[in-house]
Amino acid sequence: MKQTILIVDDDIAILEAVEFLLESEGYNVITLSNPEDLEKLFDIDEIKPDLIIMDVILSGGRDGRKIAKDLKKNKKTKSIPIILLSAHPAALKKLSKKEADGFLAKPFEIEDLLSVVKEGLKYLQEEKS
Amino acid sequence: MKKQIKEAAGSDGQKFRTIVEQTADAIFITDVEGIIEYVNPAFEKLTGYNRRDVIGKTPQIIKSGMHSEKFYHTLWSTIKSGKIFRDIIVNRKKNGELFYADHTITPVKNRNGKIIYFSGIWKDITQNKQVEENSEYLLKAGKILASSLDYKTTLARIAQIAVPYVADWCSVDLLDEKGVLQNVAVMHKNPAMIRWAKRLIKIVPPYMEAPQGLPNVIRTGKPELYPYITDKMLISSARNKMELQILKRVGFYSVMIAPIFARKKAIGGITFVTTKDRKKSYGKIDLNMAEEIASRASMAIDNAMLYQKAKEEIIARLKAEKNVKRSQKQLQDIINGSSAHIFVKDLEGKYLMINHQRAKFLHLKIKDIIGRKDNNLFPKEIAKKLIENDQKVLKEQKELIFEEQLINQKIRNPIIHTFLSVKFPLHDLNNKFYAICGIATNITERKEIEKMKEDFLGIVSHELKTPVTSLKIYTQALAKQFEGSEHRTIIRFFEKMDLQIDRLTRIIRELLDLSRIDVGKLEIKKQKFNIEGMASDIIENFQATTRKHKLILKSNGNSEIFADEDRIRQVLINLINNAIKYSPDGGKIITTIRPINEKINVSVKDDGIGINKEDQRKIFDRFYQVSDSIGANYTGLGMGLYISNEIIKQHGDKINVRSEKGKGATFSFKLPAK
Repeated sequence: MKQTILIVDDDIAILEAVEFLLESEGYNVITLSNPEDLEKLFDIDEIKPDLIIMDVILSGGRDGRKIAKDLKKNKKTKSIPIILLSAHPAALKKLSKKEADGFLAKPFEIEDLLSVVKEGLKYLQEEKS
Repeated sequence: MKKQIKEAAGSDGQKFRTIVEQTADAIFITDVEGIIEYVNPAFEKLTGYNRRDVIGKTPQIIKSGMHSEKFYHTLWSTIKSGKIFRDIIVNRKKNGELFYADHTITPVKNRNGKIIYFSGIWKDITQNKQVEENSEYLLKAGKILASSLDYKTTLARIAQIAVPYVADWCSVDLLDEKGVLQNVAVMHKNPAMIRWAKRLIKIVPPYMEAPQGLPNVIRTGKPELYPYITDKMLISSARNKMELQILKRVGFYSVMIAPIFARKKAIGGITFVTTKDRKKSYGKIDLNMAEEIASRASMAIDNAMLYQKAKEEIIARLKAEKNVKRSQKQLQDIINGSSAHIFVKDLEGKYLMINHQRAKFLHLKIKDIIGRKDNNLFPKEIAKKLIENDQKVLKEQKELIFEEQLINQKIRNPIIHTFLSVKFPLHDLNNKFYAICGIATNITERKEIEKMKEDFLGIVSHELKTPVTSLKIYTQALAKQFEGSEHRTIIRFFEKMDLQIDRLTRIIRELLDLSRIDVGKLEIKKQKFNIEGMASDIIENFQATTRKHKLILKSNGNSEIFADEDRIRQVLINLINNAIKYSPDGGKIITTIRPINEKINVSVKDDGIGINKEDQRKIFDRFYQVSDSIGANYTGLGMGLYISNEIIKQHGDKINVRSEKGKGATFSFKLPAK
């Protein structure tokens, strides 16, 4: 079964690029440009991502780190690995394990993204088994 | 003459004769014309004349020249008219000395009332007269000395009044601050001689080694008395012929010198001299007088010096007080004129001093702030922070700089102001720490601008990197699509695009770093990591891009460092990238990592074009570009080394370069191992 990856980024270009990349790698991809929709998304039981890739700075002043932290607190979502992306290397430096399972500075090598994704999914599988 | 005495004395003649011959008073008898007929032994003794010398002569021979013609005229007319003449007379002895006498001349008459001879009696009162003159002088001198505190003037007056009463020449000399004898006053009965004497002092300055005279008096503190000055004495005291001539010309007869003291130390002397004109010889009585004068003069000098010292002290104190007041006012003006907040708090935190600026900020009067503490002036949280900072200064006892936030409670909607506060200890005269001084500059606006700049940098960083990120993903993803296919050219182009995107990313990063360095915000987050592993990865990646160069890593021992991993990677990439870039003909590029003491030394060496001495100083400047001998420029913005050096500076070192034109270059730096 195809694994589902949720990408949250307010930049459509990146959203589409990552979607293109991950789909070509054989993943099922859901994209979200408006983080407001995130909560609604989790209300739909059928959609449950195996991994979330999210930008730190999102539109409307929303903080990806804060959202990630909330997700980790939520029973329903706490087991989902989260990978944060940022164009601010300084912002990534301040991240902790409580917020994310992987970090990537923009721009990144696709090899790096793919390996972080694989790591995350592997971690999830180990947790499940 | 004997007959006359007999006549006068009758049967008592013998008795009378005995009395006359034995009496201590000088007695002489002249005829009506004044020709001396008889003198008694006392006369001979007093005048020094033998009776044979004077009998048959008039008393003119003992005339001193001290009395006017009128005096003698009165004398004659008195006795000629048959009356007794009585007065004090000054006469001159055979040896030229003067003597004072109570002088009585009685005309002796016969039964018819005709004057038949004159009898004269001289009672020698020279000594009395001298004592009288001395005491008169002492009295006058005492008054003068007591009259003024200007001792130089009073001493000059003393010398003045000494002449002609007690001396023909009187001089006062004192040692100056340098110990050189200076004439303070000189008086001579002849004004022409004063000028001469003054010149004399210049021509023949007193020499302090002289075995006698004033220098000796000053040395010993004892007076000297020379009743008679002989030629022999002059010869022995003169240093040369000229001096002897001068001394002879003075015509010394008798000299006495008494020391003048200041605080019990002899500092000069008063010299009394009589000349051959008068031939007065000084004796014990005169010396006593001289010493008395000198002692009073000493007292006057002591008093004058004490007064002078007190006066100088008072003047100095007043001056100092004035200076203190002036500099206090100056300081106060500067403090109040400053745009910064300046204040002093005691060790308990009470305000001791505050300037207008801070008072204005608080909307309070200065006097209402003095004595209060911060927790009395600011909200709890703000005061707590201020007090904490003061405590740090108190503990470390040195200047510390803080960013402090202040708020004025009196305003309805107060805004937080940010201050850059320099706080330092103040020490009293005994070097005891007694207060904390603060100078605080309001940097609120600057902070706002900095924040805006930082925010802008964040936005620019995000805005630039976002399209680059998607570009990179598409490029790489596309390249991946063609992986393993026969479209080799397409794959190569994608790879080239990817490299250009990396280059763009680097430039963006460097521009952002540069801005961060400008605002002092190049953040460093240190952690432990192994630099050898990092270097190995970087070298491997670079080696994949070049065949001309051979990249070598040399490492021995510990390579764990405590530094900012990301930033050190940036430095290594920059140095190795430069090494490749500036070795157009290829060659070895050796990266060496080795521990030295507590540090890890990192160096990157190449065999490239090298850097001449002049350029070596400039390569760490911003935007500096090295061009080779042909003038070819190397691409890049010239920011890399500047940024790398700033990063290494943040780690406590700086990048060193060793190079020669055409002989390659070695860049090295040290990082902390812990």
